[in-house]
Amino acid sequence: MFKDRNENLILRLPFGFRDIFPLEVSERRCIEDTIRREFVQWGYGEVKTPVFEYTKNISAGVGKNWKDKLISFFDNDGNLVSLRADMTIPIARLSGMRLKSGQLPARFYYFANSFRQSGFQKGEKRVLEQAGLEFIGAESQAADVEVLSILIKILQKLSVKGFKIGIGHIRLLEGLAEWFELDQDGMEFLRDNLISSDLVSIKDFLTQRDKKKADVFLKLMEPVENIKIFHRIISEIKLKKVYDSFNYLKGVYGVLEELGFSEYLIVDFSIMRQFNYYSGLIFEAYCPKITELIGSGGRYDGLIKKFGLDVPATGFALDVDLLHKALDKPAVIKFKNAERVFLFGPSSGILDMIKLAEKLKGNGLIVELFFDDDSDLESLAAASKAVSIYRPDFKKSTVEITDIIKKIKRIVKIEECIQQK
Amino acid sequence: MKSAYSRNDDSFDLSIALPKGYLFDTCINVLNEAGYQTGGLFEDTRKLFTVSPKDRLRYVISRPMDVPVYVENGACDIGFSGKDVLAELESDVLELLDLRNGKCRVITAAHVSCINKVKEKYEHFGSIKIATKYPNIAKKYFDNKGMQVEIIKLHGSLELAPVLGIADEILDITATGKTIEENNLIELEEVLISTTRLISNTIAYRLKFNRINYFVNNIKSVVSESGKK
Repeated sequence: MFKDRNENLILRLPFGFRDIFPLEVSERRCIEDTIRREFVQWGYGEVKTPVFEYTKNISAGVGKNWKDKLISFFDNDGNLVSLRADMTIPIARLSGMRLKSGQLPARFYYFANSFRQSGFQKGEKRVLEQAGLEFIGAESQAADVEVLSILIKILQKLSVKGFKIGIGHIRLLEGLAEWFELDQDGMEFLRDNLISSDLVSIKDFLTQRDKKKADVFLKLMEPVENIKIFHRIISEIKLKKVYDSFNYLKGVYGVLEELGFSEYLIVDFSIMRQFNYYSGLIFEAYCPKITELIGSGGRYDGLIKKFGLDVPATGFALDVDLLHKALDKPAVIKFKNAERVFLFGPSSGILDMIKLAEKLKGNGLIVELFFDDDSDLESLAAASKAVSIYRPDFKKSTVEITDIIKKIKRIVKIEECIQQK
Repeated sequence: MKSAYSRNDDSFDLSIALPKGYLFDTCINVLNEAGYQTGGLFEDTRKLFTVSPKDRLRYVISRPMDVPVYVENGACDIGFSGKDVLAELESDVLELLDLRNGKCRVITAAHVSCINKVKEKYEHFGSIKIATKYPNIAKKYFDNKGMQVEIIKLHGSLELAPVLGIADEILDITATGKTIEENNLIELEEVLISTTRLISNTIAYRLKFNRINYFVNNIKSVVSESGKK
């Protein structure tokens, strides 16, 4: 059918972007459906925000150097604008602009592409397909438990094999910095090196100050499966900020344990993200098959205040692209596949063809129309997983049905083939 | 695309990336001291990887510049890498341990006859040429100094660059300073000191913490001993 099209044009895309074809999109759609059902059933409502916004707004509350990660350009009026790099900030902006305190708490979810600059040679994408939720006005610990259990439930329902959730608390690091009597620069040093995962520099830095405390610090940075391991260490530090943040995490951990989720949990105080807006509980989702985070989130109490509404909030985002790769398909992706048939006839008979197609569709079939040239139609049908080819003869009111799999032909009356199912 | 992690092979528990070249023997020595089997495993130098059934470890032997890439992308759980390479690549890996060996320094140097000329040139033209194997380190270093430079990437024999007139200065590693001296170059500044680091994939570290930590502690025990010597 496309024999004359032996060569495609060689066109380029900007690096970090790609096209996605129907098979992959349909599989992703199934993943999204599972996620969406969970979001909706927990009372979250879907929001959409502009793809680009003023850079000033979109970089509120993010870390230093973050602006380098934004894809920015000038708007017609000369203002600097950037593509959104996540959905948390736009939703914080939306909440600050539009929500009244009487409308709280508000539960939002989204499916959206976000854009970030990345290293060309590292083979990284510049677009993230994210699915996530934001719980605005999330006053209590219960809100953190809610979003974490939604996250775990989603990963369970998608049958992501061997997934784990690492949970930590950002204030614990601040507490420990106080314990070492570090100034602002020292605290920054710890933060930066935790983000870049350089434990060697942290060890050298802290050992110079207090060797014993440094050992305790590094012990606390180890990921553990049971939070109880840290009890003794924390109580020996005797510092309110450390104790409080630990206790908060313990509370959340305790409820999740009661819910039967403890096998998925890793307690990890070294979790630190580039976003400065996180203010308390913070977490990441891992899967053995994927070497990037499949999801992450946490509490960001101060962020919406930057947009004029002083409310606490918590949320998370999942990377749909990575989730897709994490699944052992096709076992997980049950795609309710309707049978596909090819309907072939002369283009002069288009009216009858469309009428027949409508009736076949009424029987639940997927109908693809072909006109005039039926050379290679059989092999094309096999390639696109069609089960049969219908060749109607409208004068005789019959249709010749070719079964692609069994390779047999039969002729039936048109009415019969419509009533067949 | 980063999804190479954890191939279904259960003949080993951890996969370890080892750098070819001058760090290779030091790494093997450390492994040996820490009680890991090394004899007989690394004799065939063309082999790219080898499994130690006794320790249930797989060793992948790669170019030094590729070690952090293997680890970052999950092809290996842990690896041995020079700090110079880590600083150049800025890979997203966990730095777990300083082995305090394989020490070398990243420095800038200029030809003995040109030092004053380079200064004049910078004052005159406002830019000088730097030849280096480490364009990223070079860019950061000179940016922080507020100096405007043109960086030229070379893959080896950096000492030749000033002699041939490709560059005014070089930024390179040196262990003893001998090569620098022999080529009539003079060290100008020290950019960073590099030692061997034990690195880990960030996800593997969380998911296989016990196994990785056991390995790290074994290595750590011999590192602090050799520190005392």
